[in-house]
Amino acid sequence: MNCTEVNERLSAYYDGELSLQERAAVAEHLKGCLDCARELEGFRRVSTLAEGLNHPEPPAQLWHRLDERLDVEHSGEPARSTLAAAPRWTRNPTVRFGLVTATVILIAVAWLGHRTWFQHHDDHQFAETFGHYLEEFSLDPHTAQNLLLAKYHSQSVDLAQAAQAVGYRPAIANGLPEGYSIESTYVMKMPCCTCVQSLCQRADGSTIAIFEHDDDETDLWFGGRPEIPAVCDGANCSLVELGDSIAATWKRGKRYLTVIGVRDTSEIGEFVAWFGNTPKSERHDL
Amino acid sequence: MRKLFEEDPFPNVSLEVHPVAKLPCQTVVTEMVDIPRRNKRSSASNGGAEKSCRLNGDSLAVVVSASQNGDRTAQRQLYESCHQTMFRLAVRMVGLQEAEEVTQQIFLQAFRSIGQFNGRSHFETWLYRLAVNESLQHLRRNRRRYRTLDWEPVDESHSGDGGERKELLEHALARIDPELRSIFLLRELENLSYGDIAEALQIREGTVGSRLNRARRELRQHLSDLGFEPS
Repeated sequence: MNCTEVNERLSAYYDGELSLQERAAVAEHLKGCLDCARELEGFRRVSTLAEGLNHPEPPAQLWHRLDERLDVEHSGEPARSTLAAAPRWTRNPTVRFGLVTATVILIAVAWLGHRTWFQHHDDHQFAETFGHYLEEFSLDPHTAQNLLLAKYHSQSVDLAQAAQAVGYRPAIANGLPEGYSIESTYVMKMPCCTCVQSLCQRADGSTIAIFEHDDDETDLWFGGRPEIPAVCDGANCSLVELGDSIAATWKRGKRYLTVIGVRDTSEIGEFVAWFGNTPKSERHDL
Repeated sequence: MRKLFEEDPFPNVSLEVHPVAKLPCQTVVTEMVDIPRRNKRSSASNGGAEKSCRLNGDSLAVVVSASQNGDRTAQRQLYESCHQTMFRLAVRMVGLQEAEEVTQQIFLQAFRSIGQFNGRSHFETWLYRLAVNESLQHLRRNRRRYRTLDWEPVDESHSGDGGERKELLEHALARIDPELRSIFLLRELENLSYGDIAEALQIREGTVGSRLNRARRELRQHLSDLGFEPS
């Protein structure tokens, strides 16, 4: 194992969560690598500090106050559900109307019946990888990006090269709305399709990722996460909640755009409006 | 004090004191290989941290079942069994001032949705999920406030070096992403296995490892920024 591989497994090694084989390989590496050994020692020191934390006792009246609230709830006050709470962005009337309309459309599409989830082993692996990517994205988009780049054959391109590689003028060639900038663009060969992917930055430095792809099976992309249909700036979008942010997919001409890390439906609407529903760019397809 | 290692695996390594180049390399090598594995769920006995819910097995099943039927006595029993664990987690997630409110929310939510608990996961894991969700929601709702307020120390007993170090860790914990914080606490405070953490947070076990890596590295960096010089 090299340092990168050991660093990826260092917590699992420290916590006794590796298989015997992997544990032996990490231990072997640690024998000769002071940098990784120091990293491990750092983990131990943080643990030692955590062990020493004091834990204050709960207030004595806590049950009494909880009991009173349970009484109030029992007397008919509406309950608030955390697990089932609708995300705030779904409370917008336009979005709700969109949800209903698009749900009907989706049910009809589902009734017609097409492909089922996870038809092939590759599909399943792709769903796993992309699921991992999405989980990482919410914390650190660049680590998430590296995960995809390591997994799938990818080529860093400029926009002309991207067009050359995929045979059409990518939507991102239209630039981005004001306040956004393109950080990098890749042509990525994923099991579903070859897509053009751009990492983009907002003015505040936060990151979103834009994928343009042929594949419409985004249930595979989102690993079975609930997809919520909505209408954003006139386009039927499929939305997936990712912790604090949203992923949105909509059809643009012959292809689909998926944006990861958007904040709300108005930001999605901004992208839909910017890229347009029926792109002029299709006239420029190579 | 909870003891993670039966003996110090790095007796000759004091990285902050000795320049790395001067470390006796062979000594490090020998000690590294024999690093004892942490137990996945070894019992916790540090500073008042108790094992999570004290009910287990059949008695837990009976109490959960009665609670599902709205039996307030059973609900109180569940509360008494688990409230210290939930309060402990809440204190570290949202701070001492807000911990009572969040603990109440955790149990209110638990009793509202206990009918959905189907026994396929451990009850504790299910409760941890609620606790983390409630804490994160609380932080999101009060985001602006938490951005502007300094972290309030829980360990105010500055009795010597130890008290200051604990306070530094609290500051460092307050600086990392709440989701990273939750995963660190579930591992370090609650001693959950990666499998249990994955189940509680509904993420993959591989993600548990990578997030713990990040949490520990960020904590170490913040501690260093705060001037922590471990002995």
